[in-house]
Amino acid sequence: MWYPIAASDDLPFRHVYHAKLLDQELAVWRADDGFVNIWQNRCLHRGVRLSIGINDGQELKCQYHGWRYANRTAGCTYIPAHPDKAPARTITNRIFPCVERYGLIWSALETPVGEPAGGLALSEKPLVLRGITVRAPAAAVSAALQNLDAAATIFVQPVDSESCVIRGLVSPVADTTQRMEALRHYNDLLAALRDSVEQAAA
Amino acid sequence: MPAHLRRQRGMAIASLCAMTEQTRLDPAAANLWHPIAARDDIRPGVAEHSLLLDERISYGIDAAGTASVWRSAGASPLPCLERYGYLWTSLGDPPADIFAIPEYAEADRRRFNAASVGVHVSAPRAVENFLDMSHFPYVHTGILGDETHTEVKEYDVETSEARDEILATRCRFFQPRSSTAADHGMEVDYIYRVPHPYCAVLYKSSVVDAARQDVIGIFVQPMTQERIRAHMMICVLDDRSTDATIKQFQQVVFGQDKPILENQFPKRLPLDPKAESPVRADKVSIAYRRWLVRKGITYGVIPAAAA
Repeated sequence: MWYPIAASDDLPFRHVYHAKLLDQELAVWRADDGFVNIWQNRCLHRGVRLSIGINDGQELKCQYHGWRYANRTAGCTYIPAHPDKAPARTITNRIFPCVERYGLIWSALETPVGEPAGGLALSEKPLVLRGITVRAPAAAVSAALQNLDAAATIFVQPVDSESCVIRGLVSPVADTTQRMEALRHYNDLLAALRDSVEQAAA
Repeated sequence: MPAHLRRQRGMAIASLCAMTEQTRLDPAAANLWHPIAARDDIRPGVAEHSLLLDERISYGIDAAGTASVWRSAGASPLPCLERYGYLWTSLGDPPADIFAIPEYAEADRRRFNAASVGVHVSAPRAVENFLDMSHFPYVHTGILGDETHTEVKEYDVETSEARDEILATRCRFFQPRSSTAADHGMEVDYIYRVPHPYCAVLYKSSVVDAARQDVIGIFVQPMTQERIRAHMMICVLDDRSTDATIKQFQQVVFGQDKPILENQFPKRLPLDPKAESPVRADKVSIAYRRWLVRKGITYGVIPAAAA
């Protein structure tokens, strides 16, 4: 099953975004050719998080020893301590599936069947609500969302056993004032839901 | 009480129960001498408190200048040793003395604790970072390395059974500003010693005297499996800089390492050779991991069998 793990807007030019899905930390970065990479968030050399690394547009460079990993393949291309020696082919980071759709970045720990959002008829360019982190298990949040009276399509990203992120989509709104109103409305609605779920879980 | 505080307190109690269990599980670590504080940082007549191998400990210096250490619970006394400006203690049956640093006795050296810094990492990860040259260009850019000199040239590593320590020699690295006494870049010679599972000492070319070496030690206090205090011993030749300047230099350098260490996962050092991907430059780290396996150290590591 595909889960949203970030919004497209979380990946500005040459940024590396730190995400987490089902207890797995992810380093998410967009190369200059537009390709979005979702990798295990660890350099294979000494375990430093790649989300603190540097995205140069083509490669991701680890902060600790400058090891570089290629866009798309996640193969190590350069080990500065031994500049004349090509890195072993086996030094390739773990890649997770990725689809960018509806203004969200979708992933999974195993290759999922089907489409993100289960083939729901959604606008391809919806208004993406801000992700709201909840300190409660995804199941509890999903249950609470059943009673939500809203025109939004809402997904829950399970982060780990104790927390999740609510990611919502609504129909695009052309008018700026109305868009701000819609964002404020859903923010209030979902923040209230978060507070009640967190209180119940505490 | 709010739930998250209640949970925290519950965890604190659980870890108190686990601690004596922990020292039973790793007698090799319990029987070592461990650094707990720089003597200069202890206010006379005041009981100070800290954590060692998950156990609450207290220490102090009385009016006569005598230092003592005891278990916070029950106040039973613990062994106490003063070496290289630090108080050392043990929760088990420690050897008669700790490793020797003969240079510390040389009167013309500047000797003090540069800093004691808390880091959210295991002790062996901090030691390994201290032994590593290949991070200089990236983590200590413009000071201990630069990105135009990244190669780690071949060096030698010897694990001495007789002295019970690891020695890395013939280490060379170009450094833009190797110490407070340096005003230009130069290729610096290093020797690294690991005379203790959680302590390491380096000897590097002195800018002041070509025949002698600056000595810098990292003495790691394992507070828990994944939290430490790193005590940095300075023993250098520098007749120009103030204490504050020398301390600041070390603190800048360690301040660059700290966020790297805190972003390393797993926090405990994996001892399975396949857990990470070493290269030739990591020879000393490979020897260190093997040495920890042979010593039976389990505190702060992921044992090979379990990895």
